[in-house]
Amino acid sequence: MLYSSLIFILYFFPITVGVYYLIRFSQRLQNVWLLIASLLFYAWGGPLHVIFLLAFIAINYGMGITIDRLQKKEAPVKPALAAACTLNLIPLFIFNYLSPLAKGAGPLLGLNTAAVSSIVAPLGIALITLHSISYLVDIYRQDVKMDKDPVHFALYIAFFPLLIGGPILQYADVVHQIARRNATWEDFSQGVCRFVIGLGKKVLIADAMALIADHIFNLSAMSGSLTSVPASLALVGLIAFALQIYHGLSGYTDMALGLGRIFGFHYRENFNYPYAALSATDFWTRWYTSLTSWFNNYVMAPLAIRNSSNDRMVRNTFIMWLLIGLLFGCEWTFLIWGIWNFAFLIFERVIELENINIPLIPRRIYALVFMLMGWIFFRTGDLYQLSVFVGNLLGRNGNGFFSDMALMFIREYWVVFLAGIVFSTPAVPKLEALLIGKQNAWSKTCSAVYPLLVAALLLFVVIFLIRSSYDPFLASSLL
Amino acid sequence: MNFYRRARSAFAILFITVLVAFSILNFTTRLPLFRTKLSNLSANSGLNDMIGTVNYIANGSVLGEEELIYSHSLLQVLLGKEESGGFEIIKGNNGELSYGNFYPVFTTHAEEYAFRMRQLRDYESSKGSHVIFINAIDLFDRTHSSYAADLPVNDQNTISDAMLYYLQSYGIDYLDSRKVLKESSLPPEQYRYNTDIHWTVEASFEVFASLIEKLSDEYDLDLDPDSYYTNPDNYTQSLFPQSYVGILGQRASVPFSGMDNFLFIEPDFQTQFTLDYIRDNVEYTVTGDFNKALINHSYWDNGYLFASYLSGQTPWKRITNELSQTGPRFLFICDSFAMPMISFLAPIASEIHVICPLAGQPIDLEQYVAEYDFDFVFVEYYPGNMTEEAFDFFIR
Repeated sequence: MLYSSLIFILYFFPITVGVYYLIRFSQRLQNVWLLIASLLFYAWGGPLHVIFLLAFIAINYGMGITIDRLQKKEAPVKPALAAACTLNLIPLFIFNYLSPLAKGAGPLLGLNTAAVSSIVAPLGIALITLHSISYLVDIYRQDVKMDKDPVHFALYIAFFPLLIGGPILQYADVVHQIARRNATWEDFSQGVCRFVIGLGKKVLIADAMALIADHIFNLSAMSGSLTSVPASLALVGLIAFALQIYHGLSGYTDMALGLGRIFGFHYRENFNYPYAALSATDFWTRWYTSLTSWFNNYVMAPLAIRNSSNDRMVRNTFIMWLLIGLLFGCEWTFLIWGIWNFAFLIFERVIELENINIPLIPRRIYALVFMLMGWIFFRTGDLYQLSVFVGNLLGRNGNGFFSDMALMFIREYWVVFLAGIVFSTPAVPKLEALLIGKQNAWSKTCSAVYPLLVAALLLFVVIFLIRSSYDPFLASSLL
Repeated sequence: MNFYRRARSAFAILFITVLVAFSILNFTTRLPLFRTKLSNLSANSGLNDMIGTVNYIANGSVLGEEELIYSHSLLQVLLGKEESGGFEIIKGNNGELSYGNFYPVFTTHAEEYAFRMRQLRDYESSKGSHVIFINAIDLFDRTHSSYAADLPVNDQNTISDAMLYYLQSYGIDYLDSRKVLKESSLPPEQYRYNTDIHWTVEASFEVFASLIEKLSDEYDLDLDPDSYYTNPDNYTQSLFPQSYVGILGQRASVPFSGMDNFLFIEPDFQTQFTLDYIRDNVEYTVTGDFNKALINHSYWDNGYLFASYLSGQTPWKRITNELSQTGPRFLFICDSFAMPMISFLAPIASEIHVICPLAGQPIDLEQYVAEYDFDFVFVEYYPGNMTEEAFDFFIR
């Protein structure tokens, strides 16, 4: 079940919220209800996966108690923590890496790997793993007192608003909110607006951009004797992907933060207009910050404790970005993407870029080249596609520059491109600061229009969702 | 800021009120559909099937969806778009809708299907019967269709070309409807409906007339010596102007698709038939003249006029001509395109059996042709329907 599906919006969401507020006399009951809803949400994607999730929760809960007891007995804890983290990483390895490895290695070794190749990863496996490791490490570090309520822990792992696109939580940040929180009307109204805005970003911008990016990257993968992808078309595909990934991920974050807020949870922001960054370093302080924050806290920090020399810092940064790359899959392109980020971050640190006085436009161009090239590594499925796409983009495949199809995509989707670009910049918060919150008639008018704008956005979302799943013959079967 | 907060609260109240009211209304109106579809699940169906069914209904059928789809369509027009549903449907310069496809079709399984046709032909030859393949036209007409630069039109003529090439190499006779219509007096804009995948009823009449001519010229079977049945003057032609919305039009909705004229053709002479057909595992029998037996008027109420001929595509049907027991006996293995053509053939045949392998209830065709004797077996498909299921017979 996706947040951007009608079954979620029309049935799951109102029932979950309705019951949650009906039982607001008991926080414990509310948590149990949210856990039940989360398990149902999870089961909807694959009923058997819920067994995996419950087992995962039970094992980690048990390991948390073991680590806590060992701490109290002042017994050696590190071996238990290492074993627990390894145990957590095994499912991630099986689901994320074993299947692609088997697909690749099977034919070479003459093995029938059909059974392994067909394994479908449970929803949010990477997020669940990171959340669990955070839980175990935070208890080990005694950053937070262990909450022994299994419902609280299960809710931390399985809470449905976070399962699809994050943000990635750190146990110490949320454990108190699970145990004690108060959802106010202000939370509810802010959460609802945030959810609708996220839904709009995902359905109206990211999905449309995904359509264009997918076609162009697929055509590029096929290019050669069958088709040709001129440079301008490749560029349109790349821009579409950049807009898709930003609005998709930030849309999911908005939905997660909005849903969390409706239930009284306050999570940290995850995006801060990353395409307005002026360097790679700046970009990574704005893009999916919960990811880098998690890795800094649970990978970099332990490594840095041992040795903080510059050489070690470079090595540690390299390890961290290699792991971040691997988190997304076992393709070489993800590794290259990790190394690409590492190289730029180290380069900027070595030359101390922020201290160099460079005009704004060259800095923006530099940052954009860094981001867009990075997305090529991220999007192309393998090294062959990567080389073909880069060749197409640079006009090195005899593919020329001009493309009717590129113009056609822009002509058909110019509104979405425009909205995608405008909403990637801080133009809206600047406008909001300018127009809203002041005690004048203009500000009041803009504020009064606000609910209408959000309502119109929701209407557009519903219209587009219905169009994408519309089956006129299913409708006529009602007759 | 207080005013801004109040505005946000106003939206939250509006949102939750409308959402809850709409969800309840939607659920109560969709409840019969949920019940029907869920009760149709077999005992062997698992939880995954149930979830899939609930998802399909919940996401695919929503209260007021036609109005919302209409709004979407209107929005597409206002934005000057020539595609709908993420290039699912694209619009040509003359308003003709087509499926979109970014990936040119270069490979087909035409050789295998042609081989199966040869097996069928060889089997029928041994029984003194003949086999003819009829290819229905594609939505994209290379000599007439016109689309804006680089709109990804789905040109399936390569599938037809490949099929006819292999049929020819196996010595199997065929009727290329593209050639028939080009040589007819029908203007190209009347070959197909703008809003539908189907050819027009008048185009299928032309193909019917050409088929009669072919049987006479090449098989010495002169079914219409006086050119009476193939003369359009002997048919009532009723025009329904701007009243028809086909499959593509229904998906994209009328503001985007527009509407078509529909020319309904029925014999002006005396006819009497018995039509037996199976739909949803239930067998029906209708007796009467052409209009009563072969036309299902319930489709007129729904606006899907093309499917009114022989009730559209059903797994099996048999037309018995009560006025002629001496005419030839035909078998059609076909898709929905053939229905008007078969209706026009009915007055000059004694019996026509129709099997549509794509209608969802496969029939063992090898057993069927072994059981019955036919003078001719016609296999008709639209290029987009030339699939494994469509040629599910004499598999090597």
